Amino acid sequence: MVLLLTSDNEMFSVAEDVIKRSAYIKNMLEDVGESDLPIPLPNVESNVLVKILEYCEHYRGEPLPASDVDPAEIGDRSLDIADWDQKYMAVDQEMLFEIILAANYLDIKSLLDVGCKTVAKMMKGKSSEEIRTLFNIANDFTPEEEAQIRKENAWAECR
Amino acid sequence: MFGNMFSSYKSIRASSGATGLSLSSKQTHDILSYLSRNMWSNSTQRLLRAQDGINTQTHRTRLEERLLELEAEARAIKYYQNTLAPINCLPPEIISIIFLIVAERAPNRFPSYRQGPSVDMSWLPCTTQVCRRWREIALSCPALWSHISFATPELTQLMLLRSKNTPISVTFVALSWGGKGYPRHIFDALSWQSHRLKSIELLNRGNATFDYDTETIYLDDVLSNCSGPMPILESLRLSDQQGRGFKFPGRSFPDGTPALKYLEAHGCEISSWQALPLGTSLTTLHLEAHPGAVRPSIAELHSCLDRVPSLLSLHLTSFLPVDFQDNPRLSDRLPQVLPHLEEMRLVDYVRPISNLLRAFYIPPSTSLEIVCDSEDVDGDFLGPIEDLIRLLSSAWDRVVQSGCRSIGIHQGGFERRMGYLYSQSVSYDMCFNHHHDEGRVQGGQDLRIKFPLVDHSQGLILYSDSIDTVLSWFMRWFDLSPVRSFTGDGIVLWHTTWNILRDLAQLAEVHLKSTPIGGLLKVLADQPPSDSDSGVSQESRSFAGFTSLYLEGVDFRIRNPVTTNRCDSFYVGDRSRDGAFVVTPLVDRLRHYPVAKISIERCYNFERKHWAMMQEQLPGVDVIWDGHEHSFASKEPEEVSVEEDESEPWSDSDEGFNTLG
Repeated sequence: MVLLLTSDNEMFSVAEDVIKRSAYIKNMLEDVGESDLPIPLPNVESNVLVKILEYCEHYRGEPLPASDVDPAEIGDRSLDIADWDQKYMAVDQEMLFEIILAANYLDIKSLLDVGCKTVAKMMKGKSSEEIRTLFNIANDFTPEEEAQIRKENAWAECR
Repeated sequence: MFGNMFSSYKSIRASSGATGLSLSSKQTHDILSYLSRNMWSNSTQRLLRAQDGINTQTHRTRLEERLLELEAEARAIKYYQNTLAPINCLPPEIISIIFLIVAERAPNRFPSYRQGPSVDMSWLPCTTQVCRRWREIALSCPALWSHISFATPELTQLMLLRSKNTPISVTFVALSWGGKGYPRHIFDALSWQSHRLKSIELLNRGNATFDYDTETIYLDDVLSNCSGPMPILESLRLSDQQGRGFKFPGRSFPDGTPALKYLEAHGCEISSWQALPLGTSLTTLHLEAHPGAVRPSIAELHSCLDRVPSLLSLHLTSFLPVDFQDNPRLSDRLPQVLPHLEEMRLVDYVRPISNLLRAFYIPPSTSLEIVCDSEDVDGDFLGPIEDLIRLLSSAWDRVVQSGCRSIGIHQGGFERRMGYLYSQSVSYDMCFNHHHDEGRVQGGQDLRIKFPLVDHSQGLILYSDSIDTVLSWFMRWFDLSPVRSFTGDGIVLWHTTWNILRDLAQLAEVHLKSTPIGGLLKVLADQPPSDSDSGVSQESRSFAGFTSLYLEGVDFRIRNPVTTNRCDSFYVGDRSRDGAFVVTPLVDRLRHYPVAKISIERCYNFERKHWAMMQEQLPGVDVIWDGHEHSFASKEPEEVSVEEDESEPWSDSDEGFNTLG
């Protein structure tokens, strides 16, 4: 078992083959060897770690992705998301982004991939105004940027 | 707040007797005092108080400056506010990945067939036009701009600039009826940016009534600009479907394409097989000839394939040599090339395919698809097919000798060159070294041979009952003894076909999809294997290994099809019958065979009562039914009536054929 200590001082005891989906933990275990000391996760809160462990538990036993993959190249870039992953990602926005951040920190490529696809799927086909509303973002463009955007829009239109 | 302010302002105006648009100086002063007290910052108040002693123009200028300051401050606050939006807790590198996914198009497909840049730019508004932070991230992500759009020269330049030094992709679909061809600024990307071209996809699409506008830029013109070094080009896909064709490679790629992995050229004439941009990295080579294009000689083709030792996938359509018709001995085949080939597709007339099989050995690791065209046949189509099967058995000998594990015969569309769908076809699918239910296994190979069923353009009709003939040739030249599974899909299987299949001692599974069951019923009745009086050994009995019958989309009211001719079969059931018309004789026949499982899925006119009858009368047999009482099934439960077998219902004459010709 591996002990994990979250940023809010919650201790988790996790099976090694479950948490090894995290390349970060896997490498740490390989580097440090067996230890009774907990691994501190200062960037992950307990409620997020619970979700992360749910994912790792679900994919327990599945082959791990190659470790030398560039994060920008992970997975295929289609918007296909497995049914279970879609249900797993049906959380509020804050939790969704926390999961993505934790997946990035813990280096769980498949989860990062699913998280990014989920956000991309939310964005695809929407106007800029709709996206601002969706993510609670204000229009903070300068007049110069607005002018440039108008120009680019005109250029991008098909002749 | 503004609501209150507005009502106070109105009360000031009303109390001061103001009317219309003009305000007295006192009224203005009162309004300013009110606003000053209630909402302006100290800086603004100081500015307003400084009105005395300066002229109006200067004061207006100062106010405008102040307005700009305030707008900038508001934007800065919004910018800061945006950093607190939950999504902006994500670092730029993750937001970049999200942007790349949003901008991603379907891989390896021409995205659309409309005239234009062919690059979907719908990602622009949802990435670069939301907020300043997102715009900064998008502008500093070169990969996002690497799929160059040619919508306008300005956009092309912008994308080339913003993609910095990252590898770029060029895609364009030109339609003939627009008359525009390719935009001239596509040359910028191909000529000046050739060193970072990673992918080129150019498609001409249109019809034969093309207006040959002398100013139109064609694929040939575009290709002529591909003369710079392309050290990282990995994918080159060219397609001309307007019937004009293009010369390939022409004068293009003089420095070669060392990184090229994927080469696809449809509707081309190969001007020089030696000059093709082939190399040791190439894994996919798909070439389709423009009608009338010169074919390579056997030596040219062999030499060409010898240059691509890493090739995994080879498709040749109408590019097979015709200079090899008199190969004296099959043992004189050329040395084997393409050691790693996994997949091969040959689309051509029967004779050129046979020529190739005479000249080449097919690598044993290959899965093979052969699509036979028929245009050079003078009425005799079956003869050359037998020759083709014979040649295949020796050109692909290691696979053929390993034994066939399953056979499927399917009816489907026949796709001729240039993507046009001409007619129906029958394809023979075989699996070697593996059974189709075992999934793809190491070393397993598939064979698909597809023949046109009807070719009205040539007056050729390959009857569906030629299946018997073709199957007997496979039996002759291939080892079918290990066949465990047979599938008939959308075809008519007469009892003569079943007479061939019944001798396959290992045949355990029979799958019938949308296929009448009459032929099987007849042959099962002919020679029950458990006849104690028959005196034949277990192995030589018909269907000795028959254990599972899978029926899908079968109409239980029909044994054989009713047709107007042998090509256009259509199934008309007698509405006075019900599913017992097939269930009763089926149960009667199967009782004599070692069948352990019957699966019935999405079948017509099969009802619960028939399921119950099968379960009752076939004890020990696992009868699985999906519960679908499909379509024309009777709604009311009724007694199952056992029909008498019709006398000789299987002969063609009784089925009402009008033989053609």
